[in-house]
Amino acid sequence: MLIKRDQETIKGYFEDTSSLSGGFADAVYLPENAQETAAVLKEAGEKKTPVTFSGNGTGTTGGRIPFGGIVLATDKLNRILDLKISHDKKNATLVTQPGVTLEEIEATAQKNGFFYAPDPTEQTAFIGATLSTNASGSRTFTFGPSRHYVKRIKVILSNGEILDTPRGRVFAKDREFNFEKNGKRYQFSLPSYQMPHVKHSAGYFVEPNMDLIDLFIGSEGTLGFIAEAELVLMKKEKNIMGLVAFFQKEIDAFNFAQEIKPLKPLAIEFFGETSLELLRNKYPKIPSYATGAIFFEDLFAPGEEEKVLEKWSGLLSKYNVNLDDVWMNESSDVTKSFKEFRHEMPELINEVIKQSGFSKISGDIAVPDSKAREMYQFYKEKVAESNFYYVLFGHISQNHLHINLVPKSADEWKLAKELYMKFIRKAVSMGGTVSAEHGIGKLKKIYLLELYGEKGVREMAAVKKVFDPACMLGIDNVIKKDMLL
Amino acid sequence: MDIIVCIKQVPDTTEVKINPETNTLIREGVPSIINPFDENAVEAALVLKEKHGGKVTVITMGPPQAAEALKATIAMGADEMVLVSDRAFAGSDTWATSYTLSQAIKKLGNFDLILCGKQAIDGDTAQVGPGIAEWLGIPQVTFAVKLEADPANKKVKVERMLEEINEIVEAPFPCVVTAVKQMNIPRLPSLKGMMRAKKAEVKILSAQDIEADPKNLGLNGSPTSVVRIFTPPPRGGGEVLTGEAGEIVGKLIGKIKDRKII
Ligand SMILES: Cc1cc2nc3c(=O)[nH]c(=O)nc-3n(C[C@H](O)[C@H](O)[C@H](O)COP(=O)(O)OP(=O)(O)OC[C@H]3O[C@@H](n4cnc5c(N)ncnc54)[C@H](O)[C@@H]3O)c2cc1C
Ligand SMILES: Cc1cc2nc3c(=O)[nH]c(=O)nc-3n(C[C@H](O)[C@H](O)[C@H](O)COP(=O)(O)OP(=O)(O)OC[C@H]3O[C@@H](n4cnc5c(N)ncnc54)[C@H](O)[C@@H]3O)c2cc1C
Repeated sequence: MLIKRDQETIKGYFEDTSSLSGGFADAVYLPENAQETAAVLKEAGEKKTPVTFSGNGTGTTGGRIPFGGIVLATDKLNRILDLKISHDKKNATLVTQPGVTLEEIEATAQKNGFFYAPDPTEQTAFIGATLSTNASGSRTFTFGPSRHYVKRIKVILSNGEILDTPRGRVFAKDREFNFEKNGKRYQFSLPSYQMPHVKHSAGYFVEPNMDLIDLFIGSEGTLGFIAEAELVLMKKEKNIMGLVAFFQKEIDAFNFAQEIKPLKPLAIEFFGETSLELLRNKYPKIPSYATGAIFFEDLFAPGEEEKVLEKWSGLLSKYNVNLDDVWMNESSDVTKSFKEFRHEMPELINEVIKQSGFSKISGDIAVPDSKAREMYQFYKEKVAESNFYYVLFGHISQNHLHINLVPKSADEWKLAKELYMKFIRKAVSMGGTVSAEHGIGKLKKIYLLELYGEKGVREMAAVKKVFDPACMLGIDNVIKKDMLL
Repeated sequence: MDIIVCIKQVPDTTEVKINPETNTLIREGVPSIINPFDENAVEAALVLKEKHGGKVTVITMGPPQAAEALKATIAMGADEMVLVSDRAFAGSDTWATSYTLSQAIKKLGNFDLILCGKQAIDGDTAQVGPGIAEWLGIPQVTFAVKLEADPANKKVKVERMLEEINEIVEAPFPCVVTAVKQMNIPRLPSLKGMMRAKKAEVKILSAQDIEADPKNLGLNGSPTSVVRIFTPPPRGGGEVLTGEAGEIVGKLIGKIKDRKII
């Protein structure tokens, strides 16, 4: 097993795409199989060395950044172990190590006529990490988040013990877990909070009568290490069309999205005025009159295409959209669409923010359907009041717009922070979440406190101690370090 | 302006695999696309149409399924499409292909400009555009990176991208211009165009329709023949230096010195 200690070579592991700095660790361990991984954890457990798990560093919340101890990196756990296809070729699952990129998962599925339905935008993320954050994407609207596609995981605990956790085997009774694994009894209560009824990835997944596997998925490396996963693939049957429609008024884009939600297209994504300004650098063909855009995808069976085109053109015409300017493509391949167009957005913003020299203040808030308009108006009003440069775009299908505030001075940065807290409080008061897909990591713990209060977080800490009694894994992720004491 | 664009349907070479035993292309299951350079040619034609008015006709020689490629250009904004298709064309080389296309173009009536891609990404000869010009006896301007038309004076001004320099030339209508990738960014199909494409009709021309001389057609009309296609043997693998960064740098400098490069 490769162990890297040279600080120059390992400093890359002290970063992700957040602006959290100051990370440090003694060494990076790069095991190649579950046994080696278990041995690393066991030894660390005996020596009480903190361990931070690392994926590919595309996280936005500092989750993989260590503050002491060692890093357990998944780069070399990078093999797809098995592809199981049913006799009738209708169902398939893929068994994989955690360090395989989403891109490779997708390519393997595709080659065999299947696809992996969760589609987090960042394709270089490692699968293990995406399960640890319960990642989701624009198609989560139709397909649900990552957890819906996990059939089994192997979790390694801080004492080196391997918990094989298939879905459908161990359930809570209301909010009590009581089960035996590897000859050991686990008995504990789940936190008492109610998760918001929106797309959500903040804190431990908790529901009455829940499946044990769901506790580990989304726990951001604080309960155990995901050493292997069996993923459910979907069959490619329908064709897909992707459309980008440009609106003269941003509000029309917003309204159009609300109107088509009940028609259940595969995905609906929103681009506000400043988003389009940024995108014009890469896509000069964006019409100059446009101040808002909607990208949406729809599935259709071969033969019904004309009908579907008629439907969309009728709806778009109601909003005075010029159909000659609606970009579209079609494919029998569900994985192809305007992914690049959508992916440019966060990358362009990251560049702008880097240039600004201040750390990013960006949101991952989602609210219930009934509050979508109120939240959108609240964003618009507040940024207008304080005259901030901001960029608003994202998963409008699930009322999950990413707001990005880009300060121009240190004073503005402080104001932006305060403003962002207002957004959080507003969302929470409306039954929304503080993080819909990126997770809490190290940077959003104060927002988690807004959502669940100190009581909720302490209850999570109690669950953590069941699996990680010495509190060595993913320290300062999700739960504030001092709340573990 | 009346513009004809020649397009070719090609396998998406980014997805092409080589059969390691026979060293030939595995074509099964490889999706077809429009030759990328030809999309640049279509875009250039549409830009000229937007500026000067007129009509864009897209033409391809190929099997019936090449109609899909034609339809995709209608979705981008082209007006008419022509599929030149006949069993007699099978096995055409560049001579026969350009002859066949030139005969079809003669049948389409008057035109001001023919646009082609610089080359096809599968055949890669870059001969068909110039071949068409020769058969029709009109000027040709290859490697166009900029194109302006002056319909009043019936001429084009073209900037050609050559290896070391760019060259600006003028040519009278009608002429053939071939497009390089750097010329423009092809537009995406539009929703309106897509709906038009669904309803649009493909005009099909056979060997008889284009009054072609059978001795210039297909395999028999092709003076060249492909003797063998093979993948060149892979180059010997390089040497991989391992170790910590400092160590590797030392080794590398040693190697460079050994070879008396420094
Ligand atoms: C341009 C861009 C777009 C993005 N779009 C999306 C999006 O659409 N949807 C979305 O959900 N996210 C998105 N993200 C965020 C990011 O891609 C996800 O959070 C992803 O899950 C991180 O994967 P990673 O491999 O980079 O993990 P890292 O950043 O390295 O780690 C993320 C977390 O996972 C933990 N972890 C890693 N491996 C394991 C393991 N084997 N077991 C347990 N814990 C582990 C780490 O400790 C850390 O807490 C985006 C990021 C960028 C930069
Ligand atoms: C002996 C022999 C047999 C062959 N047999 C076959 C065969 O059976 N099947 C087969 O598919 N190929 C066959 N080929 C390949 C065929 O010759 C070339 O594909 C064809 O002539 C075009 O040449 P190219 O691909 O190099 O195009 P280029 O000359 O590189 O293309 C330049 C431009 O010309 C235009 N153009 C090229 N081809 C067409 C077209 N068909 N329609 C409209 N515009 C076009 C496009 O604008 C293109 O960008 C054969 C070649 C030889 C020598």
